[in-house]
Amino acid sequence: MAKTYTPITRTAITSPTASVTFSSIPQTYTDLVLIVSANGSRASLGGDIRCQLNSDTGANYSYTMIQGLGSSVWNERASSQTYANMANNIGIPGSVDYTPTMMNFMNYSNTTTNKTILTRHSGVVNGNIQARITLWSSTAAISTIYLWNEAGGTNNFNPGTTFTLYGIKAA
Amino acid sequence: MAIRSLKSGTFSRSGMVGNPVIMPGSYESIATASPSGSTSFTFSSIPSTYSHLQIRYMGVSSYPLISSNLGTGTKSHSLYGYGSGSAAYAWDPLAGGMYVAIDGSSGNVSSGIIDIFDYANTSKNKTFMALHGRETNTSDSSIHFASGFWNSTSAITSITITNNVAGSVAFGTGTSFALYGVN
Repeated sequence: MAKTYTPITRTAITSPTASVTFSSIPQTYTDLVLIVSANGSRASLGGDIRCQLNSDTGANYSYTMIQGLGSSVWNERASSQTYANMANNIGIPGSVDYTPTMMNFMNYSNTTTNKTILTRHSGVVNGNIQARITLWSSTAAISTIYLWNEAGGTNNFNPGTTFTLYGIKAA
Repeated sequence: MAIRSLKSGTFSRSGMVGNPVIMPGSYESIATASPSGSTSFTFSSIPSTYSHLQIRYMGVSSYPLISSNLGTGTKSHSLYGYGSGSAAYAWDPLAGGMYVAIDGSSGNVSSGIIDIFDYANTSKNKTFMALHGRETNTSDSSIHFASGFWNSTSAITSITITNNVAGSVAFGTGTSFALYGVN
């Protein structure tokens, strides 16, 4: 059997950084998995992780999410967004809390279907847990992933934040 | 067991004659299926050499059910939300198999991941958990958790995915499934 789940690249933040870009992503895998351990600079809630693919700034992103917060559970969605909101309430500044997010970019390299991303996230400090399906309405293969902490780059990812990108290849 | 070099980090074959080479932490591709036009398909002769199985898929077009050589299942649970409202729902469906999603796709806008735990262990009943999403850029979208179990300690050697309970709707164009083994 062919071994897979191969590390592609890892970015570790060592000074406050507004954004991270994975470019020239190899097209040789079936799925991508991006694991983020994040702490942000927004005072009360750390910030949100946002994403654009292949530098697409058009209104081509949408999502549906189910979320638990304390004893409440609900779902929410957004259509025709200019970016994909991937995770809410990452670790807050001045803490050693780094929230986990796992993004699965399904069949990212095919050029015949729109792209879906399955994401699990927990803003553990604030007590939320989320599962989300994101649609990028494009048949282009994903070659670049651009991530930033919300508010147009005025918030940062704090040192200790890590992004690890893996490739999974089906037989 | 495999032997790992502390110097190089590489693995080598066990010194015990006949032992298989086992790579700790490995994740391997076992098989794929492209069932477009069919109402079901089966991963058969699954090797028993892994700890867990994972199925990753995209493009289902109805309400997929999972069954195995252990049967259609004993009990399943679902938690899901629709894009048409803020309420979340829970359901315990069981009909000809266990649902891994309660909402299908009209195109290639859905995907999911199914984890099947300790599938070869003959001392435990068999369980799975699944996460599925369908996003259409409209309120006709959904996100879904599912779990279920087979009340059997036998090993799982085959897995069948049926596109819907009636078995009358074919998987859509572009549907693909991939089976992986995890150690």
